[in-house]
Amino acid sequence: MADRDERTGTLSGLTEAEAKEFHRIFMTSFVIFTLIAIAAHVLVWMWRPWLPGVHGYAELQNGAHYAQLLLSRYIA
Amino acid sequence: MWRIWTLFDPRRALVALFVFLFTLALLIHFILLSTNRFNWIEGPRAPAKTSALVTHADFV
Repeated sequence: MADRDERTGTLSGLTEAEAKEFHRIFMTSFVIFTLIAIAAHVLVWMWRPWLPGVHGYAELQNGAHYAQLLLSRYIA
Repeated sequence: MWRIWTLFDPRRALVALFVFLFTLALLIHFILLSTNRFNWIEGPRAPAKTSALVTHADFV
């Protein structure tokens, strides 16, 4: 059985106030880290998507090419 | 949720989390570098030569 801290009576040795303070900093850092990770994943998906269709990655490239041709017909 | 820090020592938890995330990131980056499609440094490797494609130029 783990020993409880003599000062605080908790297993980690943190008081409630200390635990709340650390939790606020931890969650802020976690949210910032997650936002950066989401942005990085969006950029990589735009560069090269990593889930090919049933016909492999070539289908994606052809699909993008087709979309490009289709768009250019309306723009030009 | 904050009560978790009365159970787990934040110092050990942070060290464990950083070590885990760094190792995972290193693993994923090396896996991507080893693939053809997602190698962002060298690009796709040239296809290997097969015997059917050997030409006269290969022997002179």
